[in-house]
Amino acid sequence: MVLVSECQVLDDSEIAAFLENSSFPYDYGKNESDSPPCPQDFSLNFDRTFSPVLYSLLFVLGLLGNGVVAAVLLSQRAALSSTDTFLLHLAMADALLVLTLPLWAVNAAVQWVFGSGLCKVAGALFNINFYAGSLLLACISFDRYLSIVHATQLYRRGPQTRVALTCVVVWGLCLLFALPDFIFLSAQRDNRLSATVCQHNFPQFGRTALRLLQLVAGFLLPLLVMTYCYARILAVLLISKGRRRLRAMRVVVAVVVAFALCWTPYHLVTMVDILMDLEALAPNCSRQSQIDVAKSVTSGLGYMHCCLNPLLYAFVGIKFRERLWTLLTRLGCPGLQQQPSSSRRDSSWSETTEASYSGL
Amino acid sequence: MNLKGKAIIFAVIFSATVIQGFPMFKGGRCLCIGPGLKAVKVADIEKASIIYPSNSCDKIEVIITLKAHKGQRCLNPRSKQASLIIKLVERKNSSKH
Repeated sequence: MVLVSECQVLDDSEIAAFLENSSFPYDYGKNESDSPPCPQDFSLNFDRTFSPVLYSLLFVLGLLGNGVVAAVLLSQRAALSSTDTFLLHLAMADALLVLTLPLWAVNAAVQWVFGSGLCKVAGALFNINFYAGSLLLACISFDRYLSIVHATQLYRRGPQTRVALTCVVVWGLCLLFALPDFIFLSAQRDNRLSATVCQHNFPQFGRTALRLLQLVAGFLLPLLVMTYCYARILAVLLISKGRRRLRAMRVVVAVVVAFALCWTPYHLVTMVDILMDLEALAPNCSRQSQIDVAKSVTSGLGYMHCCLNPLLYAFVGIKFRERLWTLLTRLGCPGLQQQPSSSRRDSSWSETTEASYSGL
Repeated sequence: MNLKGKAIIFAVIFSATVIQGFPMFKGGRCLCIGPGLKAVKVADIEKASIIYPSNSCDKIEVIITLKAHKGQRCLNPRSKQASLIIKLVERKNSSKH
């Protein structure tokens, strides 16, 4: 069933003519604040200024950071490890996600002015890349886990096609996840906001359950997988001492902490919202608008994770910085090209640790 | 693929059923919370707005604007007065066509 948003207004003469003969025991007036509609302008006004600024900032930072990562990795395409390949895809996903941010900035500042087609495409693109981001993070953690804890070189020893296949599966799944967006997203007039919004054309029924599911599936499970994989890696790295391993360990901790820090606040706010929907927490106007503002801020923090990935996974790695330097010198002054650093692929252990912090 | 691989695949499939709730895809909320008033004094009514269910709110809402800047009130849509107002709107609509 498609719900149509409509608004009908009657003026006093029509109502008086109709209702004059009926008398109602009215119960207002004793308490002036009884049952006024909630004004939504505070959170809307906040969104109108905060979101465009934040989204523009994330757009520039995210495109720049992920662009550099992609450029560096693509320039050394032949020598990419499995982690590098995942990183390349992660950078592309993050870049594509922030690419849609200007549209959402305009949406927050004015309203959705781009029509239904772009609503579907931008919404789907956003969600595809959001999912791709977390799936690739899981892939990276799983890849690191296998190579360090089990020392099984699942991807490295086998043909490169295995990594490619994994990436194809990841993107295919993300496309699948975005199907509801393609089907249900549309630009429509919202009479409660008196604005056009890009929204899922989906009855509110069951939304609370779906949000609960998002909390568990979209955050808790990935976090659990990451925490498990990296905790096992840490245990191995702790036993084997050495400065390099200590460094790798720091990065491992930073990766999980960054993911948790960026997304926990948003999901906490969503949890409060769900409690309010279930009326476990008495809803009131000010609480609602506080939640709306908090959601804008915390989701912005979540999107910021897209800009952090390049920093965490790439710039911290020594090997990446060397490569970036090589690329820059090659671009800047082709005559001064450095001798390519020798491949460290002979020893299995050194390779895995090397990869673990070149990647991380 | 071992147990962890299966766990990851399970997590992936599980999240397929999730519909995103990011703020950018969110419309407004219901304007009225709580049950709302049963009735208001007819002479006080300046304007009555009926807002039908939409994607942002699955309830029908009746909002009365009171005269003399007394503000707005939410009418319980199930109350007798509200249902009369809703009926009036429906009659007005059908007479238009």
